[in-house]
Amino acid sequence: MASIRLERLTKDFGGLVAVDDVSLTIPDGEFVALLGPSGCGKTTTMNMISGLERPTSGELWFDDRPMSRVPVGARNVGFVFQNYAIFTHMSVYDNLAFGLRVRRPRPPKPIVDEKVQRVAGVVGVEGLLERRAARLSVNDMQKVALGRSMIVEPSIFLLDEPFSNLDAAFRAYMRAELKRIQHEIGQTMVYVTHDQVEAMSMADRIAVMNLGVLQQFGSPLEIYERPANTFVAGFVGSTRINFLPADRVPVAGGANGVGARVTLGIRPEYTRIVAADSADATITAKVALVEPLGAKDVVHLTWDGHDVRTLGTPGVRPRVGANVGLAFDPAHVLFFDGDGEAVA
Amino acid sequence: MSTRGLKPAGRAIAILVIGAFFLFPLYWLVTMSFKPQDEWSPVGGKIYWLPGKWTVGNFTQALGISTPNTQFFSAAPVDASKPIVHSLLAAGGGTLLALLVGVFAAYGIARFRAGGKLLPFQILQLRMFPPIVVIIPLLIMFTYLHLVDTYWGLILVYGAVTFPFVVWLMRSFFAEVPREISEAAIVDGCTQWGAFFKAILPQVRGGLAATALFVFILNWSDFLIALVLTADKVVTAPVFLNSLQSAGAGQEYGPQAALGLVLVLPPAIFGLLIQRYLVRGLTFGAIKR
Repeated sequence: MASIRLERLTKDFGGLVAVDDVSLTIPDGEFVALLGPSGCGKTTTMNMISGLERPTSGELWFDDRPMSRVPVGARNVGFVFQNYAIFTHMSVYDNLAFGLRVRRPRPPKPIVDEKVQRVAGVVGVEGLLERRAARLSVNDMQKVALGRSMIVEPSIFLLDEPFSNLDAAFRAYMRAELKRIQHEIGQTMVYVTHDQVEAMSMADRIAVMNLGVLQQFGSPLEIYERPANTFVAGFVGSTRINFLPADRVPVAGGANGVGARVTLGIRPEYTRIVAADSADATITAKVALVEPLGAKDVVHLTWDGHDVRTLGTPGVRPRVGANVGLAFDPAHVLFFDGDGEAVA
Repeated sequence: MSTRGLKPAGRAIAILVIGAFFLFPLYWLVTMSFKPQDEWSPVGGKIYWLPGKWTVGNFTQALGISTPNTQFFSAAPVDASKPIVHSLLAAGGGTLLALLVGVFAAYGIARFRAGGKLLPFQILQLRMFPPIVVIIPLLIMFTYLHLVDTYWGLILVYGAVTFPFVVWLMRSFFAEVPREISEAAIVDGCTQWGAFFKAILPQVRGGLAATALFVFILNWSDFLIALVLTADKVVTAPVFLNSLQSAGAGQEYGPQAALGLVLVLPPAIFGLLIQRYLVRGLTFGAIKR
């Protein structure tokens, strides 16, 4: 087990700066998600932690050991790849045992056997040990990949979008499984994903990245409630946050507020539809579209040329074209300056 | 009969005609190898579609088991067993050499873009002119190097000539293997070499088998290079086959056909041995995931 510290880590692929001056400390035993859109540098960051890529500048620390010159195989990290990277020419057993067998000195057979059995139990492939890996279902392949990276008892566990190829039901199951395994072995885990639901549901803390730059590092709740900038606010949240011109919305600190407050952000779930003439109505807007999602409706309103999203209860679905009031919860109104940075 | 019935019938006929066209030489080779001399070299041009009197005399004669009873036959003793061994050594050695160099080159190109964009084409360039163009300069070089009429000389040339095929075939097989396979092995503690041998190479063994067979057939059936670069110490089977001539009958078609049939065996046996991998290897490159 180890903590991970990135110190001004930069990776420059000949003019394309994939990771730009990222500093980050991941405490021992914590489950951290690297979240961001594709091309944001999260996988490159991960590859620098594993050693598959070498940083252009900056240093990487495991506990208090500098790692950027330590070869990949000596870092004792477990890595789970998006496309499993299972050795299809081997049996499940040989796949699991692979990491042990390439160690020098090679551990004796009974020890290998015992560890394989134990890991197979943890990931749930006990019954498949003799099967050729090529004949596994996609779901079982990912279990084997997970087990193979666990068997060497890595001090750090890296997962690069491991579940994105799985079907939705199994993905949810594996998310819970991984969370359970992480609790069981208490290992430092870094999990790369572009799926904010995945990051929110599993991680102790989330590092949001965009264009190679770390945007925010904090607990899921912090990221959600107190986004550092408009990118984080917009990227996190299943129904997109509303951004409105701050000076046009009559909320405290908005229209009559400080000049730096350029953009107002309000999450759809912190607004509610009220009567157009209600005293609670922050704005009045016209219903443009209702998207029923089952448990809730996403109601699109048009206000001052902006598409404003709110959540409605299916029972009281507003009529399209009607004028309604929209009340903002003042405790959850966010402000951003002209550069998109959060303003307190 | 509906057009539906006609279509399969037309297909069957087309297959038969095309098949007959391509298989006829093989048919002629097989039947001729069992014909006595007065049937493979008939007086008056009579055509024997099947041997009138079946004989294995052509085989025993070509393989040196019996001596020809014709007084016109050339005085030189005939024995194909030595040329076959020579051919196996030269073609096999050349194949191994091409694979040894080509497989690593192909992996370097596929995985690390070694040599830049143009290297694969520069390697292919070796095959863009007919071998006869370089064979004379090669003969002169080999004379200086004392490589004429040696196994090593032939192995070197066969290896060099088929190397581009190995690179081009194996490169596409390696490109099919996800990069993560080797990365996973390396993260688990393998060296780059260890990852290559333990994780990558087993994944492409079908392609490797197909490539080996293809290259072996090329080397095995070479006539021109061996004809120029060997004299009498090393004689490969195709060169020997060509030398089966006599003053009386000219080309000894019967023994030549018999030997030709024997020469089909090594690649055929090789192919059968690796058939398990071959089917996958031949279709492997076509699969896009």
